[in-house]
Amino acid sequence: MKKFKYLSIPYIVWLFILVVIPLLAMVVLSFMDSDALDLSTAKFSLENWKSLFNTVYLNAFWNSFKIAGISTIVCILIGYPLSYIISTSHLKNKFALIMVLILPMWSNQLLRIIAWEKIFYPISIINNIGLSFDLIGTDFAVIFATVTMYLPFMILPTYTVLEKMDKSYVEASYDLGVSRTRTFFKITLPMSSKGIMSGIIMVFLPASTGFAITERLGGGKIVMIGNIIENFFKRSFNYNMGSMLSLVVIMVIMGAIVLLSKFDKEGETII
Amino acid sequence: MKKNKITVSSILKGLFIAVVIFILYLPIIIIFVLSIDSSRTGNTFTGVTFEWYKEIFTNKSLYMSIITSFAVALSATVISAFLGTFAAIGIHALDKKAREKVILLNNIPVLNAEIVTGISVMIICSFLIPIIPDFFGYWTLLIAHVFFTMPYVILSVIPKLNELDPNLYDATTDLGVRPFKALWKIVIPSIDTGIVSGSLLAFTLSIDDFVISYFTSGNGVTNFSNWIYVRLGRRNFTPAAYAFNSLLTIVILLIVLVPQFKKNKSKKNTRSL
Repeated sequence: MKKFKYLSIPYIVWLFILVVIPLLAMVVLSFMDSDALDLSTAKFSLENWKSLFNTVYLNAFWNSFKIAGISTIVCILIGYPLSYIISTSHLKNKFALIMVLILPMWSNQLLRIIAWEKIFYPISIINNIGLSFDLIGTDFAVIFATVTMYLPFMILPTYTVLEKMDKSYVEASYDLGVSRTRTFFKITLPMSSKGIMSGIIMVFLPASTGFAITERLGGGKIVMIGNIIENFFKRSFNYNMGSMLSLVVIMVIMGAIVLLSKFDKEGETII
Repeated sequence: MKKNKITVSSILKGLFIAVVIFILYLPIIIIFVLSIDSSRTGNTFTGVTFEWYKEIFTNKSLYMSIITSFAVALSATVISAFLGTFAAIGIHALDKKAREKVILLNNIPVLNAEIVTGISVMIICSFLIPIIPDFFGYWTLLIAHVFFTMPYVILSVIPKLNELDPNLYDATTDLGVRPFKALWKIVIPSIDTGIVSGSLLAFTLSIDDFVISYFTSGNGVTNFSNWIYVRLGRRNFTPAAYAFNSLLTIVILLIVLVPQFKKNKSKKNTRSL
């Protein structure tokens, strides 16, 4: 089948056009002062990169890191035990249970955010059942919504790994008189670390770069880097600053990809 | 084995699962309540109505956005599945070093921030505006969706190609079958599970996409998510969006869960026989 090599060429060209060229365009734009994409009046400028250390942007980066980081940890603390309980249970229909946990993803993500927004305001439909929250603009609201949004992405890979795992290692460990706790930390956890790793990637990356959750639940007080980039591209049409901040995000993610490729050369962790 | 013994730990485990399921389904329940709430703002519950369900079919901008969502997702899935399978076969045929490099490139749209993917496609397509003035809309959405879904198809197909016995293909061509016919008759049927799971993933991601479509829609053509986003908190938002989403969720729940329970029942039946 080696002769089918050439079938990869159109795809490589396609990836170059859509990955590499926009990247170069962003590099050029970040060193310019231009009117959106109009290069006729553009001037060379270092101002964009100089303003990177402005506290507004540093705060936004820190917020993204903090909110996505806490959300990812909460997702591990809920998702992993959940996958572990289901995979070690004697239920007949484990897969159906996993499907039940994954299915909320099929409901529109924006409407799910709005559902939380609706009940996090003091006056809401849950007043009818005697409840009222005032959580808009708090870290809690943003993290809570982020966790419910991305938890299925932690459950799926950790469950897959735990279910595929060769259970005879665990049984051998029990037979040799090793305690349950020690067996878990010495065998099950290391053997399922790949699933946790892909769960972390699938939760942390979208959670740190999204903007819809903070836009609706942040009440203008919590700003993540996604909100700022969105603002530059869609509202103030400052492509130069937007490109500069996007490049910083890309560099951070590239670092993560390179790190990942050291562990996983065939890209099997992702799906 | 102590299979049917009810212990404290098993109750706690069950309770834990139940609480998680409850929290994950709470937004869906709220969306449903909002879809039958007669108050337009959705801030108080004023009574039950099915008016919003009727409005799905009368609100033109809403149903056009729903049609766009499905049209883009279906066409992007078909294109990604078809071209992605051939690209995967090509990548699989490369030498180890080249293959690793291409897979790294292929991972970029998967791992990259959605916002960056959206902006990348927006920039590339903006360069074409001088040539095609009304380019933004359906075609830019389609390009963007094929771009971010194809890597998933490729990542689903490559492991299946790795499992495939290369002798099978060689034997077929040795018997005088033309290469592409061998591909079609031998290779594709052996990797079809990978193609199907990749396509399902592609469709799921495409139909619900918000961020990437946000940057690549234009000229009045948007998908369902973006229809909602631009109307939030405005007067032209309508609870018909909740109604449509509730209908879709119920249909999907039925499609996925009914066969599961049926399978379980038939298993039980065969066991009792």
